[in-house]
Amino acid sequence: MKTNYEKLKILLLDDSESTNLYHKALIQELIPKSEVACFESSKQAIAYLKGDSNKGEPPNPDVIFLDLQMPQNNGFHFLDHYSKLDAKMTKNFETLVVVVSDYLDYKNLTESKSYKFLGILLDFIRKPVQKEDLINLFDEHFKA
Amino acid sequence: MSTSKRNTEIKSIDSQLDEETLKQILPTYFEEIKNDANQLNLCCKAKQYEMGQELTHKMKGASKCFGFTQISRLLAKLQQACGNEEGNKVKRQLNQLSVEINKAAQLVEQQLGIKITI
Repeated sequence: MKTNYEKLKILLLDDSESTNLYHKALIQELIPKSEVACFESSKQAIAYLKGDSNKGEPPNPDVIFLDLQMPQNNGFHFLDHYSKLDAKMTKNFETLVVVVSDYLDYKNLTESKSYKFLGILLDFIRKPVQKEDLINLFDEHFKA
Repeated sequence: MSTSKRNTEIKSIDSQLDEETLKQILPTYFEEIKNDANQLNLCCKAKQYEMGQELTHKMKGASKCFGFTQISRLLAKLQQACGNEEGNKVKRQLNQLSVEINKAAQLVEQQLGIKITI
C-alpha cells in the first residue's frame, strides 16, 4: 500500500516517543521519501517551526500531526502559539494540521474547530492511526 | 484453561508494522512504559491523581498503537480509577499492569527474538 505522492514534509507532536516512532514508521511505509520530524512537547515543536534548529530557516512542513492531550502544554497550547507565528513559518497557514486523538468529546472538537476561524487548515484522525485513514487523509489533501 | 485466564493472555503481537520495524521500535515502547509505570506509581502514592490520569492516557495511546489490547484496557480502567481518586483500586490495577507488561515483554522476546529489559 503506497500513496502516489513522492514526498511530504511532516511534523509529529505527541508526548509519547514510541507513539511518534509508530506514526513515523507508518508514514514512511506509505511515503518512503517523506521527511518526518518528531517532537514530544509543543515548545520544542514551535521552536522547530521558527527555524531554531535550522539556522533560522523555517522548515515549513506540509502536515503537522498533533496530539491534543499532553501534560503541561497540550495541543491547544500549540495551536495558540502556532496561530501567532509569521506567515513565512506556516506557509501562510497552508500547512495541514491534523488533530490525532482516541477520544474527541464535544468540548475538544468545538475548541479545535475554533482554530479554523484563525485560518488554520484543520483535519481530524482517530488514534491509533490506521494506514487506510492516512491514505484517505493524504489523498484528500495532497492528491494532484 | 478457564475463559477468564484465556482472556488475560496475549496471543500475538497485533500491529500494522512489519517485524523488522517492530524490532526497532518496541524496545523504546517498553523503556517508555516502564518509566511511565514507575512515575505513575509515585504519583498515586502521592495521591497526584490528575497527573496519574495524564500518564495513563499517554501509556494507553502507545499501547493501542502496538496492539497490546490487554494493557490498554487495563490502563483505561486505571485512568478511570485515577479520575475517581480510588486509591485501593489504583494500587490493585498497578500490580496487574506490571504483570501484563511482563507478559507482553515475554511475548515480544519469544516472537521477535529480541531482548526486552523490564
